[in-house]
Amino acid sequence: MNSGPLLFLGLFATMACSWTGFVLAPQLQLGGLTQTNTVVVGDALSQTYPLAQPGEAHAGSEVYRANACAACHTEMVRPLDLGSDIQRNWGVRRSLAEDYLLAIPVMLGSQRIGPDLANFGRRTDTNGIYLRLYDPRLITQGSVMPPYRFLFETHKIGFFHSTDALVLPDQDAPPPGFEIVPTPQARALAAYLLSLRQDGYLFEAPPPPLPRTNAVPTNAVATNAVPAAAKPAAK
Amino acid sequence: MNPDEPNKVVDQKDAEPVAGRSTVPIWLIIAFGLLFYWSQLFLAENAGGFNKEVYSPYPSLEEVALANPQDPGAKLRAEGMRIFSTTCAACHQASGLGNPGNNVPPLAGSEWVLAEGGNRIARVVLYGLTGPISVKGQEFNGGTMLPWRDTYSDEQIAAVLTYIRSQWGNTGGPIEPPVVKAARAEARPSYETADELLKLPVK
Repeated sequence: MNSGPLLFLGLFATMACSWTGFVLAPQLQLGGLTQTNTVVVGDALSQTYPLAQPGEAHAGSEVYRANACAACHTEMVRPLDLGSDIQRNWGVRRSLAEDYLLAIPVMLGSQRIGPDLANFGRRTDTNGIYLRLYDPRLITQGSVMPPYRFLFETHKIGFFHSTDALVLPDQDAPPPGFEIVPTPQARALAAYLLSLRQDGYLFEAPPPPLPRTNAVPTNAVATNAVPAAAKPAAK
Repeated sequence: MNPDEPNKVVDQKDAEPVAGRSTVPIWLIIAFGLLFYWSQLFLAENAGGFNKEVYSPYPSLEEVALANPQDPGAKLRAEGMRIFSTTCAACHQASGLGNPGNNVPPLAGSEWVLAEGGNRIARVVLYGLTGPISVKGQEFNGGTMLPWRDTYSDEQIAAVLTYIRSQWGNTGGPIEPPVVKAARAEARPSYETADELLKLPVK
């Protein structure tokens, strides 16, 4: 080991280069990001973006983190030229640095064993989330997601049914007189998943252009009449 | 131990490994040079000038700007909406109808707001307004609008003017910041009045 200082300098330079590229330069460029306004589309008003996580959503992000959801689910939509995410309806535009401004911590994930969740709040509802957590195969046939039944409790039905008791098919239904209700963790997680939406069009990712046409509209008068071709054949 | 070779180690297994020196092969230097050249070409083509507002698939800032909806007033209106809702809406109301009971004239359909050029309305916002004024055939007297010249910049006042000219059925075009700048250059010491405004050219 007669060239220790040289070896050290080489290692140091290598680490310094990657630290500069991956940490320092992005921090200098994007470290000062603030909330911004969405691009005005048509007559719609511009809105603040991104919005703060509503209600229990932040508590839900801790549940998401604790159960390692990010081990199988990503939260990033790839651009049109680098994947089929947008064609799969996982988002209306690519993800930007701005989207993660108020998400602490950011849970990008790295593997897509399950679908991308960057816009999950756009395509589901609370009940759908509960059923997926209780038994993913109720919704998706052949899903490899583990059921998270410990996020639910079986209660004896009191005077009234719980408003958010799960509606399950017969083979999963609880015994008569009992109902399955989400725990506070499941409610928070559902609030977090519903808050996931990256659908504000920004300057960096503007809305797709409207199709251009020079054709004169042929159906100038709006009508509810059924076109002849769509009518069922008379017998 | 042979005194002629003092550094020779007898047992090779216990020897401290020693790195020698050799020249870097010329083909390796050329290969790295070519790789570096290609990487610079790739970056010039695809890095978008390392601009933080340029994301794939757009190659440059110009392309991003072209892909955005082309509406010259859009940015001003967005900024104006924010200022209007925090400052102006308290008296003129979010509906733009004003508060006639408290001598606040309406902005919706107001001939002062919709006048071509915005020369007069810019002064109203900059220097405030006092005294009688007629809006949409109705007389307002006894109210005073505060001056905003020290609170907002030319761009911000132009934004809020553009906003009120585009809302509530108003169809006035955008007011550009130079109009406000010209009105500010006068440095009027006191409130505007309707009589003095009417002496000014519309544009």
